[in-house]
This record gives sequence, structure tokens and C-alpha cells, in this order.
Amino acid sequence: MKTAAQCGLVACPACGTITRLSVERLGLPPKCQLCFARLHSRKPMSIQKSWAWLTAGVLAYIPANVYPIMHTTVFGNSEPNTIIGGFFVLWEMKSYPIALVVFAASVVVPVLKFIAVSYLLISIQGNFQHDRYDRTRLFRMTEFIGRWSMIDVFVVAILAALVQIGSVAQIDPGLGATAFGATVIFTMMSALSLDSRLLWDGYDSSATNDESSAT
Amino acid sequence: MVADRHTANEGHRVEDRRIVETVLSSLVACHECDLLHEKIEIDIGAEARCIRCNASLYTNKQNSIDRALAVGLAALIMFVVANAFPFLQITVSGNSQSMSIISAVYALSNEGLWLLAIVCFGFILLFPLIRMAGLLYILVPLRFHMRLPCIELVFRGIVFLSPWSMMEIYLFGAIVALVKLAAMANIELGYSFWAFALLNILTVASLQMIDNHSLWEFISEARDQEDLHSGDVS
Ligand SMILES: [Zn+2]
Ligand SMILES: [Zn+2]
Repeated sequence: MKTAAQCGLVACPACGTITRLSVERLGLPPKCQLCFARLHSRKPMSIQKSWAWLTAGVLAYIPANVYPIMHTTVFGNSEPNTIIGGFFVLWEMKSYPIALVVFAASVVVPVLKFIAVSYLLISIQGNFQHDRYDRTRLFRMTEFIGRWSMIDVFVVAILAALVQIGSVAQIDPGLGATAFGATVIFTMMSALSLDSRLLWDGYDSSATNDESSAT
Repeated sequence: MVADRHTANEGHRVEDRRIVETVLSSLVACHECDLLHEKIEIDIGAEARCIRCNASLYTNKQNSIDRALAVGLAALIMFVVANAFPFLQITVSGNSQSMSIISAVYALSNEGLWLLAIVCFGFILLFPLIRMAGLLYILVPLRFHMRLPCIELVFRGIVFLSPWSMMEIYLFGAIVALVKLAAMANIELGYSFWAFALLNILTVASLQMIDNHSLWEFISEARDQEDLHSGDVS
């Protein structure tokens, strides 16, 4: 039960082909012989990049909540809407399912993502030995669900495109939408730069008894 | 067979010749935990998973290029239709206003949110289009046993853009917007809405048929045959 890295091998991230890393060339990033993608045994600077993107995401989340995500004008009265305000309006309208979707996309998912990625990074840096499987699942979920937060930005853009009815009603996007979009993109970058293989490095297979099923 | 492939394609790989590498085609490494597995034959429709972290290693989908091509072409046609007609139409006290898919991008740029408008244009229209066109760019020549240049580049582009194609999220965004407005206005779904929904179904079907790795298998199988053929000639 060995990893590719332990055997001096590396798998192509694009096509999956396995290549032998020659020792004297370790300094240069080699390329896949078949599809020419860059090969890295582990993504370079994975932890640092991931922390950096995550920090940028957290910082962008502040203006995303402070500035209005859109302005609603009804019969000449303009009113700014923040992310959380939009949720309360839906809740009062008794559109509970949609209110929950909006709340999940704009608050639950981003905040959980901040916490999850931080925990994964700390667990790698602290060389945690336990729960590797659960942490891998957490990583998978983070990666899968994070992009869905973009739904908030799309809703604002669609409302702004549709509700332009002269003097009756008008919706315009606000600065908060850009900040929220930045949060989503930065946290996606954070998860993409986090190399999940690091979660398993240092795993001692002899410590467990499932070793015999390796081959 | 591996060695044949090397000599036949040497021209494409001058820059990489310095790096001594051996292709180990009987092994597969888990992309999530890096554990090495020996490739074994699996049943049609089955999926091999990592014994350590349960990530999907490979599948045996047995899909023909013809089927993948049909779905890919249908998706491209739906993409065109979805962008040619009104997406949603709203009517409030006799005044009506309609939007197409790209109107959402204009609405952002009109308010000076240029950066966000450009990014959304990529997520909703450009990246999905590049993926669809790229898929056809690879599959159409394979179907007719030809090869266009830069297939590797196109393949890597498709893999790279996968997480940044967000058509399905836009569709759900439209549904959320619909519910928001339903109480105060009369909303009609345009032709484009249905075409876009169908496009999303086709995209899911296409991804079910050919994920990134099986797409590469199509390419490399065709290449092997080609190499064998050119080996016979020389
Ligand atoms: Zn490759
Ligand atoms: Zn694994």
C-alpha cells in the first residue's frame, strides 16, 4: 500500500497517466508526456496559496455584507438591500424554501467553507493523524458545494435585467454583489489550490489492518 | 506498444525529450490521496474506487463516440437557441419587459460593475461554450479518424474550465428570481428558458457519458490505432 509519491511517481492531474519523476529533474516541473499538463507530486505552495485565497475571501465577505447587494426602486422610492435583508424579505413573504436557499447560499455555505478550509489547512500543518477519511470527505463537499454560492450574484443580475419597468419598479445591482462574487471566487480558488493528497501524507498503513487488501 | 507511441509522436515532444520518463500504464493513482492501485478489468457501467479514501478512480462506461457526439451537438444547438430567444418576460400593470440570458451580464455592466459582469459572462456563456466547442473539436475528428492540432491543449482547457462553468447555477438563480417576483408581477417563461433547461440536462448527460478521464481514453485509443497504422507503413 504505497502512494505514487513514495514510489517516485506522479499522476497527471488532467489525463491520469502515471509518470516516473527522474531525480535530477525534480527542480523543474516536468510535463505529462501524453497531454503536456504540468506535473506536480503535490501542488506547489499549496498550503500558503490556500491560506492566502481564504484570507482574501474572508476579507471580501465583509463588504459583501456591508454594502447593498442591490437597490430596489418602487414608484420612485429607492431602497438598498443587503444580503441578509433579502433573506428577511423572503421570509416575511412566506417563501420559506427560497428564503432558505438564499440563506444557505449567502451565509451558511460561505461561513462553513471558511471554517472547513481553515480546519483542513490546520489539520495538515498540525499533521493530524486521525479522521483522514472524514477530512477527505469534508474537502470533497467543500469543493462541490462552494460554487453554488454564485447563485446569489446570478439572482441579483437576473432581477436587475428583468425589473426595469420605467416608473413602476426598478432593481439595480450594488457593490455588495461584486464583493460577494469575489468571496465565492476566492474561496473556490482556496479549495482548488488545497492539495487533498496532503491530507494523507504521513499515513502509516502498517498501523491499520486493512493493509492486506492493497493488492 | 508504449514504446511505439513514443517514436511515432516524437515530433510533438521535442521539448520534453530531456526528461526521462516511463509511462506506467497499468497503474492508477488516486487523485485525492495519491494511493497507487493496479488497474483491473471492471464490468460495464461499474466504477473503480480508491480503497483508502473512496474517490472514484476510473469507470467503464463503454460509450461510443457517436453517442457522445450526438449529445454534444444537441447541446451546442440548444446553446444557440437558448441565446436567440427571450429568457423571461415580466408584466406589471400593462408594462412588460423581457430579458435574454446575456441581459444579466449587461445589467451588471450598466451599473458599472464591470469586473463582475466580465466574470459572469465567463461563467454563464463563454466557459460553457468553450467546453462544448472543445469537446466537438476533439470528438468530430476522432469520429472520422482524423486529427486536428492542439488536441492536448483543448483537452487541458476542458479539464481546467470544468469548475468554472456555471450554467446550472444560473438556471437555479432564474428559478429563485421567478419565485421572488411571482407575488408582485406576472412572469412568462420564454423559449430560451426551456432551451436552457434542456441544455443543462444535455450537459449532465454528456458529463455522465464522458468525464475527463474517459475523454482522454477516446483520444489515446484513437492515437494508439493511428500509431499502429503508421508503424505498418514505415
Ligand atoms: Zn496528462
Ligand atoms: Zn484515494
